[in-house]
Amino acid sequence: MTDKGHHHALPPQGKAPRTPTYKPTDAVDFLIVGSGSAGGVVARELSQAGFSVLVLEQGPRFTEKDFVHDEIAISNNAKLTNNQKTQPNTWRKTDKDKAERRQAVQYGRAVGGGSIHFTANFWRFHEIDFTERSRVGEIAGADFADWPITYADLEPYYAKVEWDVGVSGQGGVSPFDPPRTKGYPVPPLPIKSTGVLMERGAKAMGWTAFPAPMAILSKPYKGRSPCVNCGFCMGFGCEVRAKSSTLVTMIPEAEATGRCEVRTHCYVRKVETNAAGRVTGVTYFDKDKKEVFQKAKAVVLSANGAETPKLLLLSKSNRFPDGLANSSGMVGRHLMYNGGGVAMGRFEHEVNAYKGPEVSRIVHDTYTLDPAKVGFHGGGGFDFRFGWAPILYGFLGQPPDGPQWGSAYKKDLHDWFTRTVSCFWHSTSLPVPTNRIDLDPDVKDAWGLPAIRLTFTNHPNDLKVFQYFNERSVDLLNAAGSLKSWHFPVGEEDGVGGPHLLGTCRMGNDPAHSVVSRNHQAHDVPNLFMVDGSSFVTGGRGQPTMTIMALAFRAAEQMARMAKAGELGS
Amino acid sequence: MALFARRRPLVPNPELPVASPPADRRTFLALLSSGVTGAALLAAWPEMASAAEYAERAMAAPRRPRVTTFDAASSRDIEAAASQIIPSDGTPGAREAGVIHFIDKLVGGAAPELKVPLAGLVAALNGEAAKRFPGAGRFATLTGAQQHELMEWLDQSQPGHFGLIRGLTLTGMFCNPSYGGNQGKVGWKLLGFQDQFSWAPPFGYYDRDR
Repeated sequence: MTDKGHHHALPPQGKAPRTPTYKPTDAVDFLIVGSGSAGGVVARELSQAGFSVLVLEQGPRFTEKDFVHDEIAISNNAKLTNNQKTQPNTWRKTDKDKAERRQAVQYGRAVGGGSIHFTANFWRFHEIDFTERSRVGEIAGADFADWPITYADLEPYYAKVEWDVGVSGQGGVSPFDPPRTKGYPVPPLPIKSTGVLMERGAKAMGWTAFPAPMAILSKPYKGRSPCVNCGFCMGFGCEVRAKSSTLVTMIPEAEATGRCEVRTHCYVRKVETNAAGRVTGVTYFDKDKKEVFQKAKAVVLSANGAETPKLLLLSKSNRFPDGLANSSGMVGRHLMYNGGGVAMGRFEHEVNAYKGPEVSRIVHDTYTLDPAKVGFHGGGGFDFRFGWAPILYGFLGQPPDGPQWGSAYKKDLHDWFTRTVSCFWHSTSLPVPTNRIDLDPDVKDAWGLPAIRLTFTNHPNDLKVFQYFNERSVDLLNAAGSLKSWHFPVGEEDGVGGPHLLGTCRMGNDPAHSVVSRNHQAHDVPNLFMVDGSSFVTGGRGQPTMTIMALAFRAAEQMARMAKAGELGS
Repeated sequence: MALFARRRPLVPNPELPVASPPADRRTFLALLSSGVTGAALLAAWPEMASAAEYAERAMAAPRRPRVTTFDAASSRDIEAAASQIIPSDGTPGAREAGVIHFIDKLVGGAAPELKVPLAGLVAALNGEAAKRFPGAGRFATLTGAQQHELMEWLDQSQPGHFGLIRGLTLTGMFCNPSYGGNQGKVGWKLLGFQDQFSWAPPFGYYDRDR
């Protein structure tokens, strides 16, 4: 099954799609803040459903020629992501501390958002990820809750992501995967030496390594090229449109409807409301930092798990003194980064893990651990990859107990670059009410808006999870034949600065304890929706983007239904 | 944890206004483990893009340009220190990669704030040189063994300065050659890294070993 029979083919390259230009006084049906994994999907679904859609994006719009193999331009200078120079963050460990300047969050700041630079691991969540509170019970210090939807509710939308956005994989190969109604549209990416070694290690441990589902095309699909194995996926944009970012999938299809405008360099500073408590539009800074009020009948915030709560907190008014849609006090709370870490191993022969997509095999035997056996709640999975572009490898690629400069270091760099494998692990992390995003009282960004302030320290349970996964990663590398393996230490602030921004406008049935409904509608404002990582109730086991997109497909369907039924109250 | 507690910071002191990777190792690792390269943690680095124009001119020029942001003696000291980080011991090192030219353009263009800490590095090395080896001259003119001893001292007692020269050396060693370092791709050759637009499997020894 390749590109035959798909009716939403991309417009031919080089020909600009016919897109509208809405006036600020045009009350668009849906105004979407953010054009990333969630915003791109919602824009495509709503514009294809016949609504007028305006997407406001903070960042620029890149094309393939911008996605160069240049570590300094892309990584060091934050070309694709939020920049601390213009949008600083602050961080403190607890409410008692004074926040200091430090990068707290990372997000894609361009059309396509984080889907441009993600690694493209596209695991579905499992049943347990939606029902952990019922299965595990209360955990002191965490505000654990079940999702108001289940895996079964989301399953059709996971399939939609796989087929409409484009995911490579093989259904039925994982002994742990939840039920699925369909296979994948294109087969798995080729196995790499890292994948072969992972199979070897997993087998020795009595585990199963299986082909990774990846949002990178293994075959031509929907007018896009397959991967050419250049190796610059993680943190970089794809030069051949093989990575299934919304920039090359959902956004062009939205624009092809003739009903969707994507407006770049628009930094929204307030969601405006009227006396009836309904959203009327947004005020944003345009490219020249001039303020524009854009009318809209309904507003969707898909700005990511940090910028969405920030915008709600910025949108306070007499009627909403604690921030918009925040009668529960939950806006910004329960930030989860997912647990994540890396162990490294050195192998006898060349692996050349820097070539090709990062991941070809994954292990899920530890997805749900038994608390009675391990002494904590949690679970997660592993993948073997590399993860080191050359400069980064120079900085941190060698074991911390070895030389860090001089001839011996140089020899290590020479000997091991092509023979090093990293085991990345991805785990649960608990929703803690005090771990939150709010507005810094002192630090401002280049537009004069308050900086994001993060208050965060990992739950003690999660430190045990992280240590467990570090140690099992070393076990897995050793079982694969690593000559020398090591992991990095666990710390209370692990995750701070990371890109998985989850839980800050959690969904739920009880308006007193959640921000949005099971349909992503703000409990307090009927024509306002939040759809992105902020909707998560618990964090899953890492790799949230697949679920963000699935939620977005489902949310868009609900929005369209409610709009047609006149349930938005605008 | 103890492992790291014993080690000096691998990166510059965050209090110094230097081109540093993430302010600390943990931030870096947290990000890395979350599935991105150092984009966020390296976001504090200064803009370096303008170095590209210079570097292309430098590489097109028949001879390497003179260093303009430091006097000749300081420039030689910085180059010697970089050469201690990645020595020219049989294969090309920081010197052949042109790390000093990478630093020169960076300081002269996008990151002038590096000038003061680099001058501080030079002063620290020469101050300690005068104490330990009176009359032996500047850092760059010392024997390799003497330079190594001073770099050990810097590593142990001056983490900010050490992290600065280590970070700049590694960046200049492994960056895209358009930034003035990694001349002749000697850094990438050291690693065995080939920047190529596409590859086909098998990528490594184990690919077919199933």
